[in-house]
Amino acid sequence: MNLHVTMQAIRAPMILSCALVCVASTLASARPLDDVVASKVLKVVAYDDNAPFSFAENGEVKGIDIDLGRAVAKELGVNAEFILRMPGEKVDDDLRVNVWKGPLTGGGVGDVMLHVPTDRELAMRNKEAVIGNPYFQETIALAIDPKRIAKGSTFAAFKTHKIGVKMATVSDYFLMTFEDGALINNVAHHVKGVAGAKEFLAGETAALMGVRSETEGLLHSLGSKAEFITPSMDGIVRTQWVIGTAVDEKSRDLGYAIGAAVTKFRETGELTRIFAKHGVTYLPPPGS
Amino acid sequence: MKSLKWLATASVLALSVCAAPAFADVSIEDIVNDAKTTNDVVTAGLGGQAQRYSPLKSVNKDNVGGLVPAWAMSLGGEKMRGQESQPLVKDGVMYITGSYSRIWAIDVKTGRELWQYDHRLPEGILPCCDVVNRGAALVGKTVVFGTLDAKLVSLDQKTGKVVWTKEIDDFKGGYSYTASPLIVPSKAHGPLIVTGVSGGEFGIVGRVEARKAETGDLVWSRPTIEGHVGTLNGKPSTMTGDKVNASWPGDLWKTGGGATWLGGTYDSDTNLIFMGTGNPAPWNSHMRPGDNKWSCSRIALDPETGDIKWGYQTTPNDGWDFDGVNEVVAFDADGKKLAATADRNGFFYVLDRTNGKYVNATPFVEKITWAKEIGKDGRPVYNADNRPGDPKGSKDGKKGTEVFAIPSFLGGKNQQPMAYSPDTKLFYVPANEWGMNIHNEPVTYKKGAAYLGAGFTIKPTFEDHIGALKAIDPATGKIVWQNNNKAPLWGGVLTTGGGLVFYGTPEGELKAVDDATGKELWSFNTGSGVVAPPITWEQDGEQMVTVISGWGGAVPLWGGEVAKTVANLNQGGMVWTFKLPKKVAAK
Repeated sequence: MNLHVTMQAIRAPMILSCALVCVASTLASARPLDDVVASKVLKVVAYDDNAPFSFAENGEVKGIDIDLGRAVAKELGVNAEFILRMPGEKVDDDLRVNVWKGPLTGGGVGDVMLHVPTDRELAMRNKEAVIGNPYFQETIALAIDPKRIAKGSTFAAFKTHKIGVKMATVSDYFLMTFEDGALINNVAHHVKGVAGAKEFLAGETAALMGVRSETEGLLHSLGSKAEFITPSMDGIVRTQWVIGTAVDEKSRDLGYAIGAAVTKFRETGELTRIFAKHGVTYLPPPGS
Repeated sequence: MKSLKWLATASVLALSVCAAPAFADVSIEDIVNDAKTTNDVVTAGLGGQAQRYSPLKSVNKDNVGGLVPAWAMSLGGEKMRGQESQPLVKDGVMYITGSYSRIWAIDVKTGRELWQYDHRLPEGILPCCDVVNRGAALVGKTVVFGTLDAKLVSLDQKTGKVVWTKEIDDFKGGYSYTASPLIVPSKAHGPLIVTGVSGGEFGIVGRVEARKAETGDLVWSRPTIEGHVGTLNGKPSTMTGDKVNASWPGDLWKTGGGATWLGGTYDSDTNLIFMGTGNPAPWNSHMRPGDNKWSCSRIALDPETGDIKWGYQTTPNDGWDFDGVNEVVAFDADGKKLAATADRNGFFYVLDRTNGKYVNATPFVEKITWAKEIGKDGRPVYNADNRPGDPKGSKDGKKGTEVFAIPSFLGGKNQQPMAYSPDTKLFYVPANEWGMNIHNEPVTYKKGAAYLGAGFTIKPTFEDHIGALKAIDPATGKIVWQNNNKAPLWGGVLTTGGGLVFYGTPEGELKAVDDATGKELWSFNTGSGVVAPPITWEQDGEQMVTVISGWGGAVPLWGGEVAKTVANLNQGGMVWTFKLPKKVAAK
């Protein structure tokens, strides 16, 4: 991992220990609710280049996280301030850098991240952050060109048709190892989501597999929409997960206040409106 | 004349007139002949071949015990962290780089700073493995170094003012630059600055690039992955590999990895640049059956065109993150032009450097598990059951079979460079004995989305040590002697005509040992961990030794049992220069 993280490099994903042997951070620390309210600013850290959730366009920050952040801030009676940052190798790194410790190179933490999987194992190994407030169901789905791929198709269809997928995702792993590599020659990889969406719209691929929200958002930004199917995906490591928020462990009360706001937006239909504005179908988490 | 002219404008510098260094251009001859000239160190590796050998012998086995500090200089500020930089010395000025993309010029007689340049880093960049820099390069009137936001910066040696800045790649795509740039001669373009790339998100393709030293203009670019076409003078040149997709499944060659993050070496005998390449993408080897060339390889490039003259792959179809980036060191034996490299994967390879043909390979760390040996054809004989399992084949479909693999992905040797002594005909390799529990793991997230990752836990192979400096006979692979060290070795090695081997330890010691036996003859506690390579040169008739001290780098980022060996080490940031007191030297 330039370890490599090479990583350096293209560093292989790593598990960074929470017990970092580093000097204590001198950066701005995350703040409880009272401090946020007193300062009249909620600092939201979002991912750079993560449409439809957060991205910059002509110097303006946009996306679902941005609209949601503004709505949450309004509920708290403060203004929202956005910091767009690059992703680390894993969300674990992002929590460290954006929520509880801050980057090595300065800039400090924010008050909240609004696009964090509410996964038990992830939460368990990142106890310095509090992950919660589940509000959106992510699913893996296939956007299809119905002229070539019938709605009831199985993955066997991609023995004869090309399918696009983002490099090194769970979808990629599923496609590349399906029936011991039966689809390999029809899997078209992309690194950037927008490249995959353009290939799909140009007809170079008959389907595009990935996170449904991202595919919907990208197609919407390109002035299009698609039909989605979710054929049986036996053996895929993960077909769905739930998105929530993360705050510093010492700012639990801020997390509760944000949770109350998000719950309200779900009930009022505000969440559905925010997602729809970016071309994404809002799906509530199961059991809510 | 030059120095007089410069003195007229030197009043802004805190420098006494009598100590004024006489700046002269660093010519390509100075660079190519660096191994032979003892009054300067103008290249990484003390010569393009990177033997890290100095013929100086006024400090030797008999008197090294009397070595004392001549001066020390703090890298200051709040910006401590890992210092992995090799200093350069020319005409009485030392050039060092430090953490957070900083560079200094220092008067070697007094240790006083002549200038400092702090590169302005954008907020929130995320270097994977500490904020290190491994050193600068001198060429002409300039000193060149790379930055954590993936820029190449050329500065005036006298003033530290920027001459030009070029972007190697977009830091927003995860790129950074930490290696020493390599300077090579070319007939067609004059001196070239050769760099690789560090970092980059999943799906980048590694490449080697050459720029004109004077302007920073790109001359050629060479992708490391089979099927990609290079450029020369702004036009497409040749393809890497013989044909598209010979050793990759489907279209994975398009996004195949192979980052060249540790920089290269240059051999003027064969006029070849040697570069190493990192691991292939994606991480899970079960997704990419085939050799996946030229990931985890060494490649030899023509400085004029960037064409690949030969390639040798150390870990085909890598499944353990054994980056093939470790340095290639040229040496001659029995009239043969050879090269050696100590790979992450734990094997010490000797190759014919004229054509890349395999000569021999032997384990340089103990209890290697992933391969039984390197076969006569130069390919590893894998232990099939030591490849991390495919999650698909596991009972719960979630976590592939966990294996305990030696070495760990941090390697039998990592970025710390080895040395070769033409006197003893031995290589001195700063090795680490550790393994890892490793499995392919789906339960990770990137950018808020599920993706396929890997789980690692590093464990020492032995209870009492991880680090081991090993003296290796390249003819037989025999380990002639070894010095164990509790913490992992992460600094480089220097060897001298005085029969000495110098190396630093994370515990803070700079040591000098007997090159024939490993017996410790001198050590000095620098106050923080040493993770950088020492140098030596002659200044006004006295032999000097310098090392930068400052604990950090990738090791402290890792927890588990390794953390215990480094838990109580303090950070720092200090340049230490040593010499013999005049009385001792005269003995």
